[in-house]
Amino acid sequence: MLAVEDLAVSYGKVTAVKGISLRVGEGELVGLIGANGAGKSTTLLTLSGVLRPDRGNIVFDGKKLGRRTPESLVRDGLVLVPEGRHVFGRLTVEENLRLAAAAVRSSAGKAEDLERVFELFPILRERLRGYAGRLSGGEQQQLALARALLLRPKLLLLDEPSLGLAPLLVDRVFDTVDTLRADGATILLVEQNASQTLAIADRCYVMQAGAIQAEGTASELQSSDVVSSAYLGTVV
Amino acid sequence: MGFEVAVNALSLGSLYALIALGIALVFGIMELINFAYGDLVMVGGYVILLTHGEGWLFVVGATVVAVIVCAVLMERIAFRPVRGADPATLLVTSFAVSYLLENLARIIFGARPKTVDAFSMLANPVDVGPISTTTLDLVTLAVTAAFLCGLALFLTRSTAGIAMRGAAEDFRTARLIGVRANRVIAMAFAISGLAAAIVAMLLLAQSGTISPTIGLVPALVGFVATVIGGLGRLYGAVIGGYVLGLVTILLQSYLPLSVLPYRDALVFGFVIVLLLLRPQGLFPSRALQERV
Ligand SMILES: Nc1ncnc2c1ncn2[C@@H]1O[C@H](COP(=O)(O)OP(=O)(O)OP(=O)(O)O)[C@@H](O)[C@H]1O
Ligand SMILES: [Mg+2]
Repeated sequence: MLAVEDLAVSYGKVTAVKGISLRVGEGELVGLIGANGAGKSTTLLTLSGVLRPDRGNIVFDGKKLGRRTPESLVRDGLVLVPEGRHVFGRLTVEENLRLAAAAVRSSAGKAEDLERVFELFPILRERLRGYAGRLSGGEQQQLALARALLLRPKLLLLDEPSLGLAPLLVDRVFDTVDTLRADGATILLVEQNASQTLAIADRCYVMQAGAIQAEGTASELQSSDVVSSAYLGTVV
Repeated sequence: MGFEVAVNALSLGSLYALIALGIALVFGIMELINFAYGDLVMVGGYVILLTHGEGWLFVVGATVVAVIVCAVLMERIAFRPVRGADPATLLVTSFAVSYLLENLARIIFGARPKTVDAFSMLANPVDVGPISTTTLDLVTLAVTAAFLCGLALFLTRSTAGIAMRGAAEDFRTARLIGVRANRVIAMAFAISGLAAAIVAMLLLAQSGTISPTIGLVPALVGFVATVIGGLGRLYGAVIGGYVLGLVTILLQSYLPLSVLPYRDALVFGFVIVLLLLRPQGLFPSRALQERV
């Protein structure tokens, strides 16, 4: 579904991503873990067309991506839920959802899409008329995910969906991601929370200082000490 | 007397609110204070000059279409290449566009003011109950009310309008859920152009003259009203326009004759005091606060 080769991205003179390569196969849940400032968000923002890479190849759904805008990539099924949720607080929950649904061309199945989203996140149906800015952090994360699902993603990029949530809600987020995967979604999950990501992901990449340090399944990575060293001593 | 002052204040406030909306709509989406907005008003004025022999409906139609086209072209040619640049660059670009258009008008039409009696039928005095006013004041109120209602409906009911509100709040995220950047920005400029066309017609109906510098005052007033309301909030801009209109008319009506020439200085003095008390404007936008 996604193949990235030698991707490098910089902010001015600072190179944040230094030539990384990674792959996500159809139906796979792949984790991208690493500490603060490793370059994970930069990678996702580049994949979704917000940032321009210095060099590198991105092949998505069989097509090589050149200079594409975020809105056109979204319409082709490359959907990012950015770090920090970014729901439109001055729009109602319904308006947030409506905007996402509007980007899908064919009107067939839109009602079913909405039903499925409400099944996953029943709270949104109750809060439909309220402003999204009034939702709690966990509810906003659900809304951000719901919006992304309405876009009918072929590949879902999730940037730290558990960030800033209470432990119980963190578990719920990981459960939701697991459910989506079980339903056949293809997901690239960026997280600082290594242990929970390793627990649900098919494979993980470990990123540190703009480079991929290791790759493998949970058991492969846990048997080596690369994960803990990538976190500079944080407990995994 | 009190009634007349109220109607005058409402009428001038409506004009200012329209002007301010034209500036605030574009600012909300791309953080551009479009100083060349006043020149859209100027373009509208010259379209009226060129067409005023025809029926008034034709004049209205031609002005609206021409100014909207001009606004959209302005975005396409001048502002798209610098989109995303820092606000200072955008502001300088808008000064350059303004300078260019003003001088173009000077070359084509000459620098001297020209008289146009396109909407002279609006100058008739009318009595509404105890209030004596003009048709123009009533038309100004009605047109502004219609524009505000139409805009509110558009922004809350249509998908394009919701997309504009979303893009004004968080442009990047709007694009990440599929909102087309070019389309919302063009839309904002088009609506801003519609406002400028209406302002041009109301201004010319009032003054009956057009000159290359006619846009200067609207640009300044729009900017000030938007700042009073708190940059980035549409209803703030509207209220800012009405506050500015009210203050202007109050000073106009109750200042002693000897001080009257300093009316505008006093108006801006009031604005400065207001901004000293509330630097973020009356209705600060959250996005701006975060950036500060
Ligand atoms: N807008 C920016 N301008 C300049 N440098 C930036 C910018 N955004 C990020 N960086 C730098 O790029 C590097 C990578 O940042 P990035 O946000 O991609 O890390 P991350 O892995 O997502 O971290 P986190 O876990 O904190 O989200 C960091 O050193 C950061 O300081
Ligand atoms: Mg990040």
